[in-house]
Amino acid sequence: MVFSSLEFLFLYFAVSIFIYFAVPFKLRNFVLLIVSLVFYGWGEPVYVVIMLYSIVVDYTCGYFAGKYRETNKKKAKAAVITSAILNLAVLGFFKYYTFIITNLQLLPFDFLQAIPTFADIELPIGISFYTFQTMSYTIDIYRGDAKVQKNITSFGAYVTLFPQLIAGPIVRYQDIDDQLRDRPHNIDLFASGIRTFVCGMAKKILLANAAGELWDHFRVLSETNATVLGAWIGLIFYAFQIYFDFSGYSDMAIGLGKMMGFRFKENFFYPYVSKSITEFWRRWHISMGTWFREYVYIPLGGNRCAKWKMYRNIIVVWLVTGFWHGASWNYVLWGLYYCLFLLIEKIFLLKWLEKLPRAVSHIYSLVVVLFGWWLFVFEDMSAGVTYLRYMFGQGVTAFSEPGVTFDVLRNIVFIAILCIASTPLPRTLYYKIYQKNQLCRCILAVVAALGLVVCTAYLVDSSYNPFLYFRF
Amino acid sequence: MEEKKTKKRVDGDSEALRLLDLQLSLKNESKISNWLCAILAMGFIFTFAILLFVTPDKEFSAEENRTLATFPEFTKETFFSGEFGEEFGDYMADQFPLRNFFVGVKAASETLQLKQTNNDTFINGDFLTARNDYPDEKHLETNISAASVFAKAAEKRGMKVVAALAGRKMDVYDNKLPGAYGSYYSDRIWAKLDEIASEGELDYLNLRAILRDKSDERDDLYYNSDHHWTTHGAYIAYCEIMKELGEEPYAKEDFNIEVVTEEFFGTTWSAAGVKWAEGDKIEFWRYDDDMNYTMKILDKAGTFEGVEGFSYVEEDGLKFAETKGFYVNKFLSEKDKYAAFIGGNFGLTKITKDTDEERETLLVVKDSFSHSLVPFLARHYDLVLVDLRYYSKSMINYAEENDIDKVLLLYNMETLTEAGYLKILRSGAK
Repeated sequence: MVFSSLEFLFLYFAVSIFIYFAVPFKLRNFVLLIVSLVFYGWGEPVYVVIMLYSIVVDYTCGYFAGKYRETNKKKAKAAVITSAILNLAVLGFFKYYTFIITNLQLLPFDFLQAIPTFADIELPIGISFYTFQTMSYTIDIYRGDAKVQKNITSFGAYVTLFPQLIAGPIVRYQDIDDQLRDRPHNIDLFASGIRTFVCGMAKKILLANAAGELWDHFRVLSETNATVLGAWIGLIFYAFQIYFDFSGYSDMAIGLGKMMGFRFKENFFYPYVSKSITEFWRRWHISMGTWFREYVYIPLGGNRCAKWKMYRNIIVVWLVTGFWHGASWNYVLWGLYYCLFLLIEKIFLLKWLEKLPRAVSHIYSLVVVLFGWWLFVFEDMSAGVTYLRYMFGQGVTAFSEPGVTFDVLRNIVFIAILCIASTPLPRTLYYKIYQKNQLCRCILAVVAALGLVVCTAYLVDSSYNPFLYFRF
Repeated sequence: MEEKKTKKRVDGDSEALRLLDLQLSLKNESKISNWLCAILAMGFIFTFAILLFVTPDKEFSAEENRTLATFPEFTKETFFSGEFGEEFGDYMADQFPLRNFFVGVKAASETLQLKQTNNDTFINGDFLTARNDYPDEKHLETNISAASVFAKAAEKRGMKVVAALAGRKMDVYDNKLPGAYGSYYSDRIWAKLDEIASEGELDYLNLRAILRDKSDERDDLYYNSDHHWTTHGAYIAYCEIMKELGEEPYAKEDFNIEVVTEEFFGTTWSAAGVKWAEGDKIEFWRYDDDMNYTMKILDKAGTFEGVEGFSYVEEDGLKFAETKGFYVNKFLSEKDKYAAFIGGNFGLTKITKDTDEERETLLVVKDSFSHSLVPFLARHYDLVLVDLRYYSKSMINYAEENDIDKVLLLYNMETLTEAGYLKILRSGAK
């Protein structure tokens, strides 16, 4: 199930939140565990098994890591390694197996061809997120950053926690440890959660979905009637789509968490206002960046080592980051692409960028990011190259055609909204109004509720397919 | 050292925000607005959640002219395959309370963003036009080449054939479309049509060009809210068709124009979702003896059972609904008011005048654009109307067996590019 759906809002959420607040605090983690499993199993009931597996594995490994970390380092380490292997094995099988085998089969060895590829196995939703989360638990215990969670229900609630289950943020166990034992439930946090949730929902439904529709339109159109303008504007809409989709989803997760007393960290912080790629990655998908830094980069030695080792570490982290985004070469390239820019910036460019006018460094960052999305979106890289050629006028029918020009013109206001929504301006304005007086705060409360109504309208409309001419 | 700095900066951003957020919710302690927010939002969610499950399900949406999803089947198989979950989403969306209201809210939101279209429909005040940049040329090719084969075969058998092709609203009223969009796509597909027609040596009557020439002076040739032409638009088409058939059309003065409704909300209105747009008026162009006609509609499903003025007869082993005149007034009180012309889409409809005089029979192979034309044509001919979407037999054989004198092929561009409906015209046509 996804948050931006009617069944989530008017069935799942309504029922879950009702039960959650109807039971005493002691039972709330248990309720969370159950409703989260229902949430997860809604579309793919079978994969709940993997989730339970992940819970049991890390509950056990974490237990032993905690038991031996003072007395027997070796055994504690073994627990961490077991956890990593068991989690990565699941992730590896579901996410990477087919990719690895089909690539191996390109080699001229007959025995490779006999290996089944299981190409039709579907990726369990959110597996990349929850395997990482559960691993972080055992590692945190081992490092002494968190206490052992003896209560398997509470631990299960952490792993399955439905708000961030599907698309993050990746919540580290140490950040949520205390909240699992005790957390406040009050109207202030609840209302703040609603506001964050509605904001995220509006980002997802009003901005990301609409931008995504346009991207799809331009991409499909480019296959038969490519134009330069269409190719550029299409990719730009994709850049907006992925940002608002992802950050909207994170906001919804954070908001839902708040309603139930959890405080998750921000996951996106206006990445499109960045003035360097280094800055972009401090603002984009922060929880993932943190995860890779804490659990990959620093264990490798981070930058407290020889220079060449530090560069190696950076390259490894970005290879893994890229690959984490999907089992396809383009993601690997996408990771390396960013790695390249980050290294260049680290070596000299960052200093220059700081001296350049803001506009220049801003444009530089946006252009790099835009072409990053080009790498990211085309899993079929030959299709990607063709698209890139269109952007530069190779093989197009014209610079533009009336439908494309019209679509750009009629979306001018929408594009302006997208641009403004990418900056901190709306939030600053919001807080200004919020702080003014009671009346303003009440108006904002109404606005939030209206936002929910408008989002619902778009959800209802998305199934509205007037079948104009006849009916068989 | 540098590593620490980076870490601090990253967490600094989110931490600053977290603190700000926390501060706001503590310093400006605002119980009233927070309760208001919670009550409004949760009230909305709970109200609609309850309404959804207590209101009875609808099976059919007149607005959209389609059947709605009903509660999905729950079995072990459908559940574990995830099919239940998926269909449940469709069910909720289709049965959502105040569905039409929400559709209107979305349209309003799009309009406020000055998007000029909604659901691929141009919105120009009350004037709503379906947008289609690239209609299917392959279907067009299939249909037109079949039509030309049929036309030749029919002419060989001594029948006079007129192929009249009408434009969609975007073909005729490009002057009401946004300037940047214009007539480019429309011209494109009509040029393609010309190409295919000349290849097949089909000499067609271009009703798009004729109506388009008049579109500057008259804005009522097509309905604002629907994709069909108005009775006035149909009258102009009738005049041109009669000329092609070699006969004199009746003058405008020979008709009594009767406005039967001013609240017709058609297909483009439904698609655009603009609930605030005005409806159209529908005109019946009446004449003195226009009730002295008998209309027989092939009606296997029994659509007109119990409808006033209808009775059922058997002919050639088929069940026909029979009535007097061309108008089915019951549709004037329903959503699809255009169906008041000859009762809507059916495979085979026969219209004869209750008289002893000898009349020629005109076979009309058509889509729904012909429906408002029927009252005009019936004044000259006995009519056999065939809609190939619902009636697929060899037309050439049918024409021979039923003593057809003349044939009119009447289609609009939408139908011609939608599917290869006319393919069947090739059957038996040599």
